Amino acid sequence: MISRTATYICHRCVFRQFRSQSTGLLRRAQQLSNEHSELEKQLADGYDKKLATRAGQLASAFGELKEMLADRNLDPELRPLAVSDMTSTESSLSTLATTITQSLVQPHPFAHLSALVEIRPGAGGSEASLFAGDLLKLYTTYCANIRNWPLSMVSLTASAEGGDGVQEAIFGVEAPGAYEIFRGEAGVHRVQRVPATEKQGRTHTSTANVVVLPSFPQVELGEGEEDPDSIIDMKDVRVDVMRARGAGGQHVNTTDSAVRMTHIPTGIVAAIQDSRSQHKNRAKAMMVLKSRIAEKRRAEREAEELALRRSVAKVNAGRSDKMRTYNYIQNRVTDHRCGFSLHDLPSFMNGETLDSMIDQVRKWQMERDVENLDTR
Amino acid sequence: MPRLAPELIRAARSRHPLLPLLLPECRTIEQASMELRWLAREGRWGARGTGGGGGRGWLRALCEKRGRGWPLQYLLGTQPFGALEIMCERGVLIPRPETEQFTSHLGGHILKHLHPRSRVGIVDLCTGTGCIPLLLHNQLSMAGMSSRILGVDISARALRSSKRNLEHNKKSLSANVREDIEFFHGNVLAVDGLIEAIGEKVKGVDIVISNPPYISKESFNRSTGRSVRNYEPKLALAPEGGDGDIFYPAIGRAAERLGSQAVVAEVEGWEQANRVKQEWEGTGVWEGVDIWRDFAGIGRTVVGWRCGWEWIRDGPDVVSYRDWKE
Repeated sequence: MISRTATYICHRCVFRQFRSQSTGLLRRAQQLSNEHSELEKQLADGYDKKLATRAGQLASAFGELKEMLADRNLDPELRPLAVSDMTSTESSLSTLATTITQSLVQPHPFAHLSALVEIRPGAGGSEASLFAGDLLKLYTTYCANIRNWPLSMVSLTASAEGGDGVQEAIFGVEAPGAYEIFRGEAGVHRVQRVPATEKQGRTHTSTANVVVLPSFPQVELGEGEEDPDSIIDMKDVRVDVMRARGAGGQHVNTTDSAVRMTHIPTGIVAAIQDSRSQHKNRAKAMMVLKSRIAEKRRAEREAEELALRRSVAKVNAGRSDKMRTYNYIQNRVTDHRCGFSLHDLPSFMNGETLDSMIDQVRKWQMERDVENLDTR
Repeated sequence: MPRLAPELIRAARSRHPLLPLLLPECRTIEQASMELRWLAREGRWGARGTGGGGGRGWLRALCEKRGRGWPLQYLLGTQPFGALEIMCERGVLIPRPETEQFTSHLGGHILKHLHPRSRVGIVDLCTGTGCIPLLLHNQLSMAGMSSRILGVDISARALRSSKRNLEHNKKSLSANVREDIEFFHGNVLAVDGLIEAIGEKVKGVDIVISNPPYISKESFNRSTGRSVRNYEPKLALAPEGGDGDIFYPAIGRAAERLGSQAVVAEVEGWEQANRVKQEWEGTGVWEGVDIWRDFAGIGRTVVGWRCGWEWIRDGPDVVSYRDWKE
């Protein structure tokens, strides 16, 4: 970080600082310029051009200021001005970088949903289930005291040994956006401490496994209500009727009441010819079409949920796959993904400082998502 | 009519012993199966022409009659028309799907473009079963719009039929339908008397609508279905004298003299549509005259409008498929 009081800053420091804003982002920008022509159209949707331009302007202003500072012959009166300008430029540059990062990264498709959190003890026997109980307490107090989110216990199995140990805990956090907050908590949590059950004062290492799933709203239909899955735009529906042979009109009196409806985006077809009334066939075809579309949408969503569950279940609860360590002896909690540490474990376990940890993890996730953009 | 292939008859018999009876009129196994189902479901003991005695033979008797060309609608006694059920009997024309399409399209137009609290005045010339007034009233009253609709026909049987249909569909119409709709005897070709009679019953007429007999003599002999030619009233299909266009000048003149904002009439096809269009354009009364296609893409309805009613120009969508297997 550039010190706000510095009157001089070396060229290299400035550049290093600037680069460290986001290496992933810079690489992305480079790639963008290479693939500019073919990607231009896609970028127009997701990438905020105004912001990018502004960032570009600021970067060049930054360079100029930096050169001014490097110039020893600079007017002494101008120097403080340049320094203060530089400070503000630098801070707006970093917020802009974050904003661009956010606009580059697609929001998670389930970010708006509420969450279903599952906690199970991993390696470490009864100590592991005690720690699972601690994690459950951490999340419940966090939801209740910090977020003020309603929490519903889906299933809670106490461990066979009794005490505060937990064999399995599943709870729903019923707040929109809870999944986005909680999804970084999924993984193996490792604890290093002297367990309450330990008689000889040895330090144990145990784990608990946390699974976070998006919770899809359960639809219960009241009378006259429509399944939201079945809502379709009538502009997308093509309605065809069977027609009589020949001249039609008064020339023919054959009953041709069949109706066929096609939902163009999905290609789903409903053809009804059951009634002599085209009016009734129409209503029935619409009903059939809607329920077929709802069925398809539901199946797709379930497949997505299943895939998600499988990808989460891959995480095994071994000690070495940990993503976070709770070290009671050193009064420290460290997230191994983003390398962030907090040094007040009791307040963390009360949920008071969990937010700052979650923020760091989300930053790391976003950074990683930008990296992933490169390889796509 | 081409002879039925023996394989077709055999295939039909293997499906159901009564199916071959229907083939002469239905032509395909699919259509025959549908009609057999409808006959079995909606036909009844003592249905017209089954001897009135009931018993086990009634379905066979119905199938035999249908195979000889009896219209399904006369055998079952009804024809669905929009949300309504129109009662059909010999001597009155069976409502057609093309009529159903342009009538409900017109109803949608009225609801979209006229003030919801206005009282629309409509005159239906050659009303037959009364299906057009009843469907329009159903559509408008469902949306809360009131209307005054007159139906005129020269045939006593048609008038009886239209009045019965009003009673039959009362539940689908608004409470004061008896004051809103009136059917009365009149000769459309005698315009003076007609105008006088209508003028006594209704103040302002906004729309004159008609599905008159429009089939010329040659056309009647050549291209009508057997079932139509032999069982439906010729009076409702082909004007006396053989000229299929004879009603349209009268309809146009009646609309003009009633001060109607628009005139809407069903026609046989493109050729007649163009002749009627020319005729009405020639009178100089209408600001514009245009042709609506039906669902099969055939020029089916000619519409003329006065200034301010240009919205009536847009016709219904062409949406149709031809084959069961398509």
